[in-house]
Amino acid sequence: MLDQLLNSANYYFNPYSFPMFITALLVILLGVYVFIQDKNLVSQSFLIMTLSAGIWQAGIGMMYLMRDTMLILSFYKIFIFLGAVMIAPGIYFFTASSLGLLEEKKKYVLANYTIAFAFYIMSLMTDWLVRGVNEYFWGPYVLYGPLSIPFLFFFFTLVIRSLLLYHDSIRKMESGIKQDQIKLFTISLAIAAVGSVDFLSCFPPLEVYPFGYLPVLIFISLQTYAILRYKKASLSEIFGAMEDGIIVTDRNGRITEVNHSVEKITGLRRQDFLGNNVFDVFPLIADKVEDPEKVEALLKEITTKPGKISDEDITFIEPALHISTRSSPLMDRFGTRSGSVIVFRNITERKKLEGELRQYKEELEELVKVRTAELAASEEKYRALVNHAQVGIGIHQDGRIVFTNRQLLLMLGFREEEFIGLSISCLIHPDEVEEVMSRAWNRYNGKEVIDTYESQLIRKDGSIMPSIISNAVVEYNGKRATLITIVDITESKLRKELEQVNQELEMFAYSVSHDLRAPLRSIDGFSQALLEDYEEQLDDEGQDYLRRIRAASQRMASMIDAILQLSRIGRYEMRRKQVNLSALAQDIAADLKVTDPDRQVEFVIAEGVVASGDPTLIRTALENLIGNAWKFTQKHENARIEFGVVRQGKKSIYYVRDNGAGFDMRYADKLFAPFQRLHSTAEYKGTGVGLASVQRIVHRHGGNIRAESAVGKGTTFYFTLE
Amino acid sequence: MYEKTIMLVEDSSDDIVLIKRAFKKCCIGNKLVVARDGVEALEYLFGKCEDSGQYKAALPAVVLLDVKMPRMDGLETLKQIRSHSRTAHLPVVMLTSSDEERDKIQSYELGANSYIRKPVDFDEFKDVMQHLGLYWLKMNELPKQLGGTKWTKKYGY
Repeated sequence: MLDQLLNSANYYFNPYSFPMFITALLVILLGVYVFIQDKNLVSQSFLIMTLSAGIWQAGIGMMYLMRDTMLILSFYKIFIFLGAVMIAPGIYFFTASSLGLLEEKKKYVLANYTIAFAFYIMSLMTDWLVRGVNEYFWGPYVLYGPLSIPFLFFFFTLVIRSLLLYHDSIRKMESGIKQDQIKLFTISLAIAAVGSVDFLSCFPPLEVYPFGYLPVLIFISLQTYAILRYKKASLSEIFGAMEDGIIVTDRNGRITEVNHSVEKITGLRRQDFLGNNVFDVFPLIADKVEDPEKVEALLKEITTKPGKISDEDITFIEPALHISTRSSPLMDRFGTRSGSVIVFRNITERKKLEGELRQYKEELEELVKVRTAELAASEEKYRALVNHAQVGIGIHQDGRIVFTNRQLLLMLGFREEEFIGLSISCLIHPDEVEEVMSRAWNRYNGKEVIDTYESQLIRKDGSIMPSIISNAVVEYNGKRATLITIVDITESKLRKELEQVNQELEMFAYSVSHDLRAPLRSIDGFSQALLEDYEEQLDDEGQDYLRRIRAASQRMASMIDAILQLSRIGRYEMRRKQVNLSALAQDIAADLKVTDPDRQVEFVIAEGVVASGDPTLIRTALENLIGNAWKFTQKHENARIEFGVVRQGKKSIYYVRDNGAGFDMRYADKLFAPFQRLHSTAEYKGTGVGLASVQRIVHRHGGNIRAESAVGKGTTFYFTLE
Repeated sequence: MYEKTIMLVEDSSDDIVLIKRAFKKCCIGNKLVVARDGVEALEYLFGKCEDSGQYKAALPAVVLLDVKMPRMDGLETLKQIRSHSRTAHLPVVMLTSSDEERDKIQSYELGANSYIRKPVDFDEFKDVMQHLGLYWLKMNELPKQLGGTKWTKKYGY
């Protein structure tokens, strides 16, 4: 076969073969050219397609020159048909890749080539596709057998499918360069389809000169044009469509190109720029910018220091625009400057945003400043509050004290430097330490435990401080910590105990008033019954004894009453008010005068003496004091009782003075003790609890009482009410 | 046919004797019904005949009620008396040794008609009893419901 192929005796000169060779050459060259221009998928598939077409065209050209039938058949099967069978898959491949559908159509592309390969093998092995050679005026031409029917079906299917793909995407696409390009592809492919006339002469009755090379040539040329034009068109289109204004100058500052955005920004037309020097154009816009000198300086810089990249902002007044300009040199391929590119970017929006942002930031800063000041002030307040609080406040973290207020230090007797860092377990009574610590641990880990409880704390000196501790989980220096508030309840414990004792006393007093009086009544009652019913059986002495029994029981009853009265003063719930002491004293004096209208007593009562106290208790006190004065002046002709007030600094000292019996000051300490009497009952009646009651009342008011007296000269009681 | 009675609720036998004597001394001869505590008193006031369902006893003209007693004390008894419609308006005089303020307040709150402290001095005690008898038996008038009419008829007041 190879011998035959190289044997010149098998060839003859046939000019019909020239167009085929030329077409093949051109097709392949265009394919390679496009491929070199831009190595991408589209150009690759284009190259494959052109190679297929080139092989086919060149093969047919060769076939025209051959004489030997056997050689022609073998050559066709091996070489020409290889090209022919590859064309349709090639077209499909190119269509898919030029439409960007390759990923999606990959399976079909592979299937197409597989089927094509199958046809190729079958035509090689059998005579079903090429069955013989016919002689026409343009040279020898093969005759197709039955396999050509499925083959041609395959061929046209792919061509039509490709056309439909183009058609679909044109319909979906918005008009633009890309669409134009696809339209070109479509037209060229439609033209290429005409090239299938070459198959006609394979079926002898349909004898037509195979001019298919012409449409193929047109097809490939149009495709090449479409591919290249798209590239070029896109650059200028981008240039025109750019948001940024672009001015291109040559090395002398002459403007060679401007885009549409420059016209929009400056309000000048394209022809105002082209061919002119930038300095000639500048005066046209000088009145439109805020700072013409800056612009001029910028232009000067661009022209005088052309190698430098400059960056400057220009503000247009009308229309109000902020433009950022940036110029950079244009270099030719030898690295010498061929001109400059000035880019205008509209940054009005950005400037506006920046302005807003700046303002916002300033406001925020102001706010932060104000808040910081407020915070500092409130922190100051809190610090003062915490430091002067009457409860102990502390924070412990990881079991150690990290913060304390003054009161807590005072309570526990520590100095701050020894207290900070102390383990809290040292502060808790050993009996409770386990419970308290486990509770603290659970609280620290977010479990719910009681927040407030009573506990015994240990002071520095080892003494125990009963306290109520309240806990709260807080954040301190960015870490979880526990805030403790401690109240010393030593006093309230004592108070509680006292209250309990008081309550017991009250119960006691209550039963005394009931139970102690009842037997006395029996004693008195039956004594009286004896005296009355058995008078005749009793002699005078017996009757005297019974009278003594009665007198004693009655005295005891009044003493019980006195005790109760005294205890009641202690239990009485005080309510302080403004009390007019003068009016009270007047009242009491009037009452006394009524009880014994025969007595001549001069009352001297100061006007307008007012004090804060419990009206009932104060009345009782004054009743006792004035009553005493009344009692102890009963033997005096010119009895005189005074009530008044003396001021000593801020203190008011009230007094009740009489000119009665008086007493020996040696016994003054016994004066206020209950049941202590400085006079005999026979001389002056009384139970001996009157002054005790007064003292108790004065003490309950936070005041003091004392007496000044001399036997026969009268007595003065001085008292204060806090 | 019907005489006004006085009811005395008192646990101390001494006091019962003394009160009886005091009434005698001031010529109050009305029947004195004595109950030794609140429970007995209520039994007397609300006791019914099993067959007829009628109350056994007529209501007294006045109840003298001691405050401190075993089982049921005076205040509780008063409360019970006031909670029954039959005795809601029955005159009740608290008669006691105590001059505790809270006893007084509670008694009046529960609807006592009077609060009298028994004096230790029997002479005074006698006076008090005389006043009591005179006031509640002779001067005070009761509505029919509490047996007032019959009493009035008998004595012609």
